[in-house]
Amino acid sequence: MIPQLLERVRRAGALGDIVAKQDDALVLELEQGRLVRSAALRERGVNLRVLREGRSGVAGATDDDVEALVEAALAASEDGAPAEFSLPEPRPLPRVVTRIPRAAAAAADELRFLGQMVGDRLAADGRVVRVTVEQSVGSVRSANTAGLDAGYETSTLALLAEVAAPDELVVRGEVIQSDLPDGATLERLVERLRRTRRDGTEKFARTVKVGSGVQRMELEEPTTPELFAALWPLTRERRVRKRRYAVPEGSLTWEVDEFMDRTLVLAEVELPSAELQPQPPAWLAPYVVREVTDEAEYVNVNLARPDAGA
Amino acid sequence: MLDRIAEALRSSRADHTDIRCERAWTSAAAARGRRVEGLTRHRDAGGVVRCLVHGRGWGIVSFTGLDRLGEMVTRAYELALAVHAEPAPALAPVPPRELLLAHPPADDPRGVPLAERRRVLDTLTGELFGVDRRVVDLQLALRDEVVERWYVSSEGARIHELRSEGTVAAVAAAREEGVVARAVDSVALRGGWETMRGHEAWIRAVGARAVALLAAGRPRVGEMPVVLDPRAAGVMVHAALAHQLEGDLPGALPLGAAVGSEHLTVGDDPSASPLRGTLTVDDEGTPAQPTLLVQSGVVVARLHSRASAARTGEAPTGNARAASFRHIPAVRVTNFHLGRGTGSREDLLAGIRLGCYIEDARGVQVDGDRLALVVGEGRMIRDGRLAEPVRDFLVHGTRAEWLGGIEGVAGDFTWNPAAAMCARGVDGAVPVTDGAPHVRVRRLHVGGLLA
Repeated sequence: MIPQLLERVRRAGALGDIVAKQDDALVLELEQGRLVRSAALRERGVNLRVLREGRSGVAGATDDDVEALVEAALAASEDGAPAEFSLPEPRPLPRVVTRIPRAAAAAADELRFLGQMVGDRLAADGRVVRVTVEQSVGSVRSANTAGLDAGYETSTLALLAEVAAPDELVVRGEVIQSDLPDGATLERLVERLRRTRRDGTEKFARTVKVGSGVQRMELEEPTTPELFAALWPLTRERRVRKRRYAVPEGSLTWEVDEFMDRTLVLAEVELPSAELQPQPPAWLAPYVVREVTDEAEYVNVNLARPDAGA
Repeated sequence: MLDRIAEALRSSRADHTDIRCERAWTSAAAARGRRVEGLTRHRDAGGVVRCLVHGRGWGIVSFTGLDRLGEMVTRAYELALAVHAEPAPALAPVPPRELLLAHPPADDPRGVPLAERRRVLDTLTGELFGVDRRVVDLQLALRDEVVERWYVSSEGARIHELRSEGTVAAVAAAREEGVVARAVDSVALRGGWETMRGHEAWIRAVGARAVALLAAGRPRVGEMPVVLDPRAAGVMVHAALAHQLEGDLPGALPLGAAVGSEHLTVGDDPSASPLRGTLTVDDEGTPAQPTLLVQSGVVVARLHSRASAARTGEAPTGNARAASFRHIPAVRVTNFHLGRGTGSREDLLAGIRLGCYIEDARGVQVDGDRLALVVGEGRMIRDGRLAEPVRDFLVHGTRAEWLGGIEGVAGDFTWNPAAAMCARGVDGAVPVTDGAPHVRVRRLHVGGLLA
């Protein structure tokens, strides 16, 4: 279909490029370890952009009607946005791994087992644990009238977990990666420990993270002082020591962290809308050096350092 | 097409099978300032097969293209065999119907050249910039869509329908002496190409609102009575209650729950025509019907699909909606409304020494039990009258403060013609309409500045 499309664009005296994608996905939903729904998605589609007489037009379709697609893109270009660009010519491309064969080939039973394994780790009395495993195998092809024809194949494995219990918040987390989070990956479960002292009482929480980097699975659960004491030494090389103050200001609460192991104070406020800009209150404004929301080095995990303290 | 689908369905060995297929034709045009940013056309075709096997559960396959229906039925059945859902899912009974409603609009947008969209963009852009020299920027988007759907079930339902709709959305910016103000609006209408005509006065009004907002200040911060115009009241009630009345969610409100004051009456009406949420039948073939959900502050019914109705023992309400063939039907609102009361806006304003009037709610932030209305335009209320304009602030409170605090509802009910979508996680976004009259809330926190 792609050669036909490009030939048709050339005959119309236009430049053009194409992105064609197809994807096969399998989605397994488990609740309390049982498979409760099973779904598959088969999708393919193509987008065509043409440039003719200094104007561009775009059309897309999920069927095989080449003629209709080209006509729609050319019609869009007649009154489309003024544009000027050149198309990349064929050249050697770097080899990048975007599909992991074992993830692409994993059978439904393997995926279900994976979901059950995660569900088991999260199970506890009174909790409802829902796990969704989504395997997606696809390909992307990009070609143009200048002769470029390149493509790559993809595999994606998403693992989503939701834990709900009476009188507790629903906690959701997910892992998305190209490979299966198989035994080796699951062994790299990262347990991040955090303890908070508030109003004279000490609370212990255990945050479980699956994987690292862009993998995002984070589940926090209360833990016991005994377990905390057993695990705490393991974090010796990765600690943050800080004293937190909560300061109500109108309907908001500012949390001010005084770091005990360095000269640093961070103030943070949860705003009701992402569109809002934080407005430091009068008591805080004189001490604000700068906004660090987008500075990665001020995230807890990056502030952590070796600590000989408690 | 119905016969092709029925033929494929006959091969299924499941206890229940249904197939929904869809073809969509979409054209879109966008401009920024006086410059056309893009013209696009898209054709989308595909379907979804659902197989239910008793004692097992659902197997579902969605797909693009419409040429391998039999293969998709087999795959869905195989997937269902692997499931062990407990309790086993079931469907509440609904008499199967044959409805052939696919009447193309007289002014079918599929036959209108893209150049016409360009002309509409140019016309509306010229109208807007002609309003005032202080209008400095515009984002304008047009979209027209025709969707043809076929639904066939193993119970004997055969439905063929066609839906056509046009949408115009604009953001106008005005600037003067370093102050920038924006007005936002959209209109969505069911129908053919005629839905794209006659928006000149509307876009001039959007431009005039942006200019007027240059003089608007920030509201006085504090707790005070709040009066919402019908658009804002509809947005607020939708955010506070819509998902909580969708009977397939674990957190759905129970029947009998007290959720608001005696002035709070809420319903869902897919038969109100011709609105974005209007349906004849839902995506499981159940006839859509008006449902009274909250009466005098108490939940009296919930919305249901056939599956959620079977699970709860309640009746299907015709609210199983799928965002597209890529989605399976879930319980969703259609035309969601706060029922009318009596009296006028002025009756609600009377007696308020200092309060806030909300004219344009641009969204709602929901954080647990707290709702913050993002207000683009409003007025202060002083001694029972509308006073100085204010803009870009938040009005927030708990659900109890919003809904329990409703102390007056006017009789001036209107549907909001904006291009509203209701999104719900993996279930996607469906088109909806909100409706309400003016509403007065006893006391809310006004303040919190938008950048």
